[in-house]
Amino acid sequence: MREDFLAVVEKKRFLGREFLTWLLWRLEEEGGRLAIGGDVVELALGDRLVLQEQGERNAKLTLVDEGDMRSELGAGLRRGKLVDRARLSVTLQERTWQLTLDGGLLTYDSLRCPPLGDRDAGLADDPRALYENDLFLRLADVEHVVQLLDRLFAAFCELRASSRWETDTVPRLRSWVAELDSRMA
Amino acid sequence: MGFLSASSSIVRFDAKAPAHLDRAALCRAVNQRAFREHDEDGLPKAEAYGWVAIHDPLVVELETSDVFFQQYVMLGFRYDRRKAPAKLVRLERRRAEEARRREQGLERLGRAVRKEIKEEVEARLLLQALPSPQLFECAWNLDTGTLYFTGKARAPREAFAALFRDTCGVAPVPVIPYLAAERIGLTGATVDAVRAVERSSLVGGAAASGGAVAAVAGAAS
Repeated sequence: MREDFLAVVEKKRFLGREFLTWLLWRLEEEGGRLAIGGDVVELALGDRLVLQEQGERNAKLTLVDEGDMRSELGAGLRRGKLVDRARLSVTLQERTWQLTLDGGLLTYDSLRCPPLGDRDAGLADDPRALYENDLFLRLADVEHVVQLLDRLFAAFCELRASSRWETDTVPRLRSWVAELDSRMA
Repeated sequence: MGFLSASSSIVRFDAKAPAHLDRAALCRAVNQRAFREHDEDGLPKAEAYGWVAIHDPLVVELETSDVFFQQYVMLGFRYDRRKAPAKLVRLERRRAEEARRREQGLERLGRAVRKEIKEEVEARLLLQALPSPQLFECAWNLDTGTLYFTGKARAPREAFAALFRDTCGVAPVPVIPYLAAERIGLTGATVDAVRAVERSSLVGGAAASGGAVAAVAGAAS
C-alpha cells in the first residue's frame, strides 16, 4: 500500500506541476487578476521559481530573481521541465498571503498570512484566551488561502479533463513556451 | 514552527474523523503518547517525539480543553534528535579500535568486532549528546476531515503521521494533486478523467514557431 502510494505520488507528480505551469501562463496572459468563483483574486509571481523534470533524471532548475525570469523560465520549459515550485502572492481585497506553492506535492511553504488584525480588548487580561483567539484567526486565514488555491486547481482539473485541453490550451501553452524561449535569442 | 509563526510550511492531510469521537478517550491516547525525552530505561533516545500542548510545549499532561478547540483538535508535536558529531565518532572509534588491538595483541580486527566497537562508541557518545528539538503544530478540522501540519521535512513528518495514526486511529493521507482532485467539488467522471491523463508536452508542434504568440496574447480563459 505504502509503496503503491509512493509510486502514485511519483507517477502523477506532473499533474501539480502542469497546474503551476498553467497558472503562470494565466498570470502572464490575464495580468494576474483571476476570477475565482465570486471573488477576484490578484496573483503575482514572487522572486523564486523551481522547475523540475519528471522521471529518472529529475533535473532541477532554480531561478531566483527580483526581475524578469521569462527567458530562463522559457529555457527550462523548452528542456521539458515543468514548474515545480513558485513563490506567489495572493491578494483578496485588502488581504495578502505569500507562499511558495509546491505543485508536485501541493504543499504551502513559507506561508505568510495577512496580519491578524485588531484584538478583542476584552481578552487582554487572559493570555490563554488571547492565544486561542489568534490561533483561530490564523487557521481561518490558512484555510482561506488553501480554499482559493483549491478552486484554482479545480478550474485546472475541469479544463485538464476536457477535450479543450488538447485542442486549445496545449497549443497556446506551446506558443507561450516558444515565445519565452525566443526572447533568449 | 507553528501556525502563529511569521512564516510556516503547511502540509495538508486527509483524515476523516469518526462519526462519534470519544473526546475523553482521545485525550487519554494523546497523554499516552505525550513527549518523553527518555525511553523506559531512562536512557536518551536518538529520536524522541510525542505530543505537547499547542499553547505550551512544556505541558505534556493534557486536559481535553488543551486538545479540543471547537471543531478542531489542536496539538503541538515535539521531535528531538540526538546525534554525536560524526568526526568525534570517527576519532573515538579509532581510539577504541587501537585499544582493543593492543589489549588482544592483534594486528587487525575483524569486521564483526569493528562493528561492535562502532555501535558501542555511538551509544556511549549518544548519552552525552544534547538533543536538537523541533516544535511543530497540527490542527485537525473534524468537520472537513482535513489535517494541517506545520512541517515539511521528511523525518518529523513521517513520525508525526505515524503518531497521529496510533493516537487517533485514523491514517492521515497527504493531499497530493492526484488525491486533491476528489475533494474540490469535481464530478466523479472528472476526477476519473483527471487521474487518467498522461503528461502533455509543452514543447514543439506547429504552434511552437513563436509566430502565434501575438494572436493568443490576452485571449486566455
